[in-house]
Amino acid sequence: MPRSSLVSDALVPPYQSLLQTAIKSAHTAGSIMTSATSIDKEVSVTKVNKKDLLTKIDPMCEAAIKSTILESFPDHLILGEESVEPGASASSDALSSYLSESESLNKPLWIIDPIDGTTNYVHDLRYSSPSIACSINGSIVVACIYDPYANETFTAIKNSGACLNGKPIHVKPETCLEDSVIAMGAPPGKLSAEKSIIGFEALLPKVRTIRMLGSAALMLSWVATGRLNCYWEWDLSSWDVAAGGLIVEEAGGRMRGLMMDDGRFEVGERRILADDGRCGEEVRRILKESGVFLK
Amino acid sequence: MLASISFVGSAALFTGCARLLQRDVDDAASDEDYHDAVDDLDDVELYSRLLSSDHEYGKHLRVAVEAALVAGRGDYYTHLSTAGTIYSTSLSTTSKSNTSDFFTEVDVANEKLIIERIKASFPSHAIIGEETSDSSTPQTISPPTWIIDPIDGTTNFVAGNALTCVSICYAENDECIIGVVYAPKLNELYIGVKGVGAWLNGIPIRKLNKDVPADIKSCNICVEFGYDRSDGIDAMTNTVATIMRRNVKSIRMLGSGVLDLVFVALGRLDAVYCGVAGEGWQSWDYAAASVILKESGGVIENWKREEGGEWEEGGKFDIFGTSMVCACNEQVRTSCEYINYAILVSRTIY
Repeated sequence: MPRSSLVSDALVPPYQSLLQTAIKSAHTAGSIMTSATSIDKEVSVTKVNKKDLLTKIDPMCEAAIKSTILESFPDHLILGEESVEPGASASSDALSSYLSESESLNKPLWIIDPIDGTTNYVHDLRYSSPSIACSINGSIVVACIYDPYANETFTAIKNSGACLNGKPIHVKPETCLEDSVIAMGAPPGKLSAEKSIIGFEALLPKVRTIRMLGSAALMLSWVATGRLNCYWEWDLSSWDVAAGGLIVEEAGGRMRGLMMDDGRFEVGERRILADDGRCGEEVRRILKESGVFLK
Repeated sequence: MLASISFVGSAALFTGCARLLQRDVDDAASDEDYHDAVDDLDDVELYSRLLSSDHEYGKHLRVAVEAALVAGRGDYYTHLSTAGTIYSTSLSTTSKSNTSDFFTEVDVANEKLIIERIKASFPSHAIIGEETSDSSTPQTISPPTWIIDPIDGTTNFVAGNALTCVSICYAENDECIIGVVYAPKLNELYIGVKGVGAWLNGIPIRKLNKDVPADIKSCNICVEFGYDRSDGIDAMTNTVATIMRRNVKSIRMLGSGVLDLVFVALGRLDAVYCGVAGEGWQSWDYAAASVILKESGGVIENWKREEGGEWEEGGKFDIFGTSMVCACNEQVRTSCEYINYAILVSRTIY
């Protein structure tokens, strides 16, 4: 495998070996998740107290991912969701800080969310996943998202396509917006909720249906594999979308900053729109016209 | 017949079903003894005993479970496994009332398959099926009646999304007695028998570790609309807007009404709005799931509407109703009383 041409001095590991590590760490976290919520026939109750799922299992998954990565790559940097204070500004600050460190030290930066979709996870609504991305110079090169309930591993390598369980996947655009399925977030923050309401009201009459599934990483993966045509959300952190964005792009779709006229997406952009390469333009236009972009 | 189906999936489901359908059960006990012994029985034992031909509804349950499993495998499962991969082939779809409301060739074939199985065992029973019903189909569950939906969550099914299921209900004397729901890609079989219990893959649902939401802010609420894209649309968007502004824990739109109700039974969701403008939701969406739900401690009720008048709460659960329903957990219901046009299902104990 060729070395990255982006960083001349650093020894960047081959992307394939970065991906293998990403997959291994995602699978490790995934089994911790499912064993904590498994319905044991003998015991007949889930093993872990619901409150512990967030306070214990989430950090346990993050620790497992970090140790798996550092085992293979002891000098890499890792930005993990669990290690950052809640809130958009803490998240953005942490990202900036790690990105500049990554650049100045010429080291790859991993951006991870041990359990994306924690509300689902706590309720045993089985749609949540570890999301793992590796970036070189601020650009995501390798991505892995693992649904441990469905046993589905979504992966991508920059310029080498996207896969589900090792088999290539591709977005599946519909012929018109009326036949398209749009996914949305239903975020808790007051401003985000208002944006979602405006967007929902504008889109519902014009699309086949709308889905709110509760895990950004998996909704991005599902756009990539054609189960959804579009996913947009107003306010997400880097670890929610870093891996999914690459998977969508490598599956022939498009990941963009929602507000960006030029369709740019840079890691750290909080407002996103991912689509199958076809319906995104129109969805974005509808959202813009409905006032979602206004302050 | 079942030997010809290869079960790809968890050992637990297979073992549960094998036990379910093939185990010989000691049928010496009379009905009276059986009822007295219910509390002492291990639930798995009870579950298996249900399927002995001695039990009043044993044969009905066996027919429903077999039909659900057979319908859920074959083309249904093949499509779900291959959609979204390089192996997928496209399904032909046919629109019903508008392009959001459609059915596939698998819907039609599977409904036919289920009907044939029911008729083979119960030739005199009435059947209400989503694909075969029309305005002439009687809307009653007074005589022995089966209510079936071969594929609930058709949009999900076509997209290869796992949130889709087969739903089969047996009803008589205006009551839903048996509910069987099978989600092949989730590898989950849900069974409810009125007055007996409900199970997920053989595990009693009442024994699952479920939290009771303290208030609306802790609730995980699901909204599911029908296909109306005309007048009813304001009601739909208003409902979502209101719920979002109420600052609930989370809102979901999953795409399978039957699974939404089952998930309330399981504690994966706390409440479901089943259609908000008198559109979309039908008897086959509620029937089987309502048995599973009620046997798991959940509640489903109708809102009653005066002709041309205001919506008001109250009203016995009526699977043919398009009138809207109010909820159960008092706190959740009170918080939702501002929201009109709602059927609210909650899993908390009355």
